[in-house]
Amino acid sequence: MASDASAQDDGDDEPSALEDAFVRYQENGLRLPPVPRELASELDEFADWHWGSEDLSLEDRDGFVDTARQPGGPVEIAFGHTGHGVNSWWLCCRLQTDALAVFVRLAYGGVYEDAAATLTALNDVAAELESLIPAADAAKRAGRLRGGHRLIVVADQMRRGFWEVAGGADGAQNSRDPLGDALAFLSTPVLNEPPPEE
Amino acid sequence: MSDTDRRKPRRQSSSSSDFSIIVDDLQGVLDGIPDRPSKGLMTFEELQAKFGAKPKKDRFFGLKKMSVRYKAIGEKLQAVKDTLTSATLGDIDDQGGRQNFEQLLNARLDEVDDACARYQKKHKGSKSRAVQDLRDDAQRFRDEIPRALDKLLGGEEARLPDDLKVDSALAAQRAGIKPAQMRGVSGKHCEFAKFNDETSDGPPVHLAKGNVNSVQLVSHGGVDRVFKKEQQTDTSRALAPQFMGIDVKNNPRYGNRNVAGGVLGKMLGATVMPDSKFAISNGEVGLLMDKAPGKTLQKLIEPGDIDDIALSPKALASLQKQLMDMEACDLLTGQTDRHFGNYMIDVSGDSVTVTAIDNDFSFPDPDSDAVNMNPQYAEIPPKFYGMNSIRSLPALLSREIAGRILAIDFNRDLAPEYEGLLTEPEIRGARARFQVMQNHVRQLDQNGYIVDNWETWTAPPPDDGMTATAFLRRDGAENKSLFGRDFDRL
Repeated sequence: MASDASAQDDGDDEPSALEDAFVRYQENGLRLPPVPRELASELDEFADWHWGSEDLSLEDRDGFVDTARQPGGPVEIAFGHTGHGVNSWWLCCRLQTDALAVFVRLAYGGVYEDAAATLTALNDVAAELESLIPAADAAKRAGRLRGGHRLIVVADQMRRGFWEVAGGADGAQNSRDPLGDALAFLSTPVLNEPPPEE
Repeated sequence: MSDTDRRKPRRQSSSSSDFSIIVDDLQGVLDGIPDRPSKGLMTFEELQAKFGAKPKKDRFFGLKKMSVRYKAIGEKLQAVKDTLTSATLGDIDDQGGRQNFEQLLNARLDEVDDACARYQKKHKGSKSRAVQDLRDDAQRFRDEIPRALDKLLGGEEARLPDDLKVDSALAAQRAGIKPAQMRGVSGKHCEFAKFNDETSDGPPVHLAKGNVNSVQLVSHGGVDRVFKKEQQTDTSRALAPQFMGIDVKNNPRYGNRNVAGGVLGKMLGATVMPDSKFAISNGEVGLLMDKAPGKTLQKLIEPGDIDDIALSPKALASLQKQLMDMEACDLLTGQTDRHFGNYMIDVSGDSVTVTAIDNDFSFPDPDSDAVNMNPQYAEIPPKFYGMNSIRSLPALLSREIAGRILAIDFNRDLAPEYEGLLTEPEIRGARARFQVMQNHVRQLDQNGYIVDNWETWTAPPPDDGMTATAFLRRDGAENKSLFGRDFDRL
């Protein structure tokens, strides 16, 4: 436990956007989606319940996927709660790294949703993301994602979900459990895999 | 029994409490009446309790009727209510309008008083005293009206909208509603006298989770409804309204768009579109909608509630009909956001109820820069970036809704209903969609795609013999019907 003096010092500092987000999620019983360490200091709050390394749309799934299908691009994240009306409310997260692009949009906060009942499922998704990010990184290092491409995963309760290896021959794989299916894909051993490119 | 106890059961029986609702309305619009009006204003149940028996209903082909004098009081009170709801602030502000209004209202109140007096001649004791309380309240109301109207019409400050009915205006005044709160709200669709904090069964319950959304559950007369405060500014940063030309910064008018959708649904006999109106809750003005039964598709499918076995052929047919009704309504309203969390489904045996919710993102502005710069946005159906509604004209329609669509003359029937809710360009856009839909319905009819019976219908060539289920799911139809898109797992 911090001493009184250090607690006083800490109290003088503005809480970081990451702290704000963590507390806001925690107050609502939610697990904060994983934020890559390199982006933690760049995080900002762009609107009420909207954080990100840049001011990125939480809604623009198509734009996100189009960009993710192109090799390269910045590492970035945005997450929060957005929507309209009485039931069109979503807990969203979009993350792009070298190895992974994941777009998550889950029903939360609508009048006809039972927020308490869905908390476990929502937090399970955050936990799955925590597994997915290192698994994708490992796959990239192992040479399973080549040509600067990444794994794309879209878990969306507004529209159909899918996963795909960008630039791969198989294209988008429709899925009711895209996070689980993507993890399963990454966990499947690949025989005779060539050595990773340096 | 306390006054509070007495009030509760009265509101749970809307059919038997018309009399008390009328009395409540008087209470609701009478500025200055004590907070516990039941002490002075008789409710239907109180009258019943004093009279010892319910009034007899008309029965046996009129051979035996309820007390004529008793019924007369109710009729005269209804006439007072009609007077208050038929005049708008604009009407009484016209030359001579106020004088005519007050004369009419006083005449109606005279009739209430006369009816009460006639009743008292025949009934003494507690019954007479009960009616005397009503006469006293009517007199107080009569005395208060001039001052209340002065406040509503007078002063240099901005005032409540002219199209607001007098009973709603008086209720708004009592609730402390400011003119600024009425921005973007169609006065003629306000039912403030009926739905406000004083007429609700209890305090509103905050429903939604999260800091951004703010929706309440309110109950009137035992009926649960959803209340959403009217937004003067949409800070959600949603993409759709910007593409549609909705003025998110200054006046999105989401409530009006929902009400307009309900107006269309009512005219088409499409029960999928919920009835909406404006109400007061917690001192705020907002949209009041019936609480839709059932679950969203997402929730329905997750636990396996809905599958081939669960849906009987009749239920499946009903589901398909209503989904196509909703597609028709979405096309006609320019709805862009019919994702599968945006309608409710209630299944009970053969009976299915589909209810469209969240009709905010509708009625695009054809004159907006966004629409003008993107030809696809101006198409019918529109193809807005990222939109979640079906981008095709309906593949099948029921005979009922097809007939209604063809029977409607947009300029005669719909345009006047949309006035006050939508702007002129939005109405123009709605007219263009309606014309396209009418032509499409004629084509469907000529080619055999109007459905009389969803259980037995089969497709004409080249899809010979396909059932409605197969037809709506045929190859390439995934994004051409809500059924094909959302129910492929059935």
